[in-house]
Amino acid sequence: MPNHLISTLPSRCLHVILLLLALPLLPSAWTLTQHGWLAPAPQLKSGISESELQKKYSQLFWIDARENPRPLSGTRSGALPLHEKNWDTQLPLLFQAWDGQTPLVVFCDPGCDNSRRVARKLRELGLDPVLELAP
Amino acid sequence: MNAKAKNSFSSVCLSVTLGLIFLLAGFGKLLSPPTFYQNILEYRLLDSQSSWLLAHYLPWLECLLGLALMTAFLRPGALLLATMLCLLFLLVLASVWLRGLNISCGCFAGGGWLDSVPVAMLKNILMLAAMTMLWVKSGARLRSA
Repeated sequence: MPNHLISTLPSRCLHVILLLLALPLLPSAWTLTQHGWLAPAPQLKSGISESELQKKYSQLFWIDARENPRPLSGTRSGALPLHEKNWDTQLPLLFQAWDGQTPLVVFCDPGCDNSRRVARKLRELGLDPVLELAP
Repeated sequence: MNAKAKNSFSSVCLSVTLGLIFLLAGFGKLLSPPTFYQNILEYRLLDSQSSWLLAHYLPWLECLLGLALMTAFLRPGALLLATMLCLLFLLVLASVWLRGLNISCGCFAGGGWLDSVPVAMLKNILMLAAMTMLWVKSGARLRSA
């Protein structure tokens, strides 16, 4: 390392670094008391495969996060469309149709990030469990 | 404005920009630590308890680091810590990329393509370049003093 770079690292730097590393401990302790110190079980798993879903759950509520939903065959035929663009109009339909217990499974086309975002928004609303179908 | 003052002014501008980026990144995560916890879990590097603690600690660290970068007295130390943190982020993102994980980096709230791993790596490299410039400028100032 060049001498001038070494000379820009006085001992004051170390004090500042220690201070900056220590200070966040206080507010983070406060937020941890708000949310709980123990980590919630990572049950809101993302990217679950269709075979895993069939093994674990007998009933599923499918949510179609594609921007332009098209009819699908099989288990996903009755999926409820829910896209961020139409969030305000489509979300009430979910609350009408969902029984509050059946696991919600959000899916999208391969390479589409909508299912991740929609699942995240649903979790933020406190809905549980919300799963994302692996592409 | 002479060359020395110009150098100092551009350093301040660069530091404030970097500070704002850190502040924005930290504030976005502070809004929902459980969401950031999910992001950390997706990296598959830490267990759930460590991820939970980190999800509550890192946003505050980023916010304070952002403020420190904008404060003249704290800037050298904050710059060193920010450089180390960016290098660490880059290393973690590179491991995600090498493992072929298709995840959102969780760097800023909002997600989307801006939070994809290659874009996040590019952002980190640009930030590291800006920090290197700041180190070089501060070195030049010390030599001319």
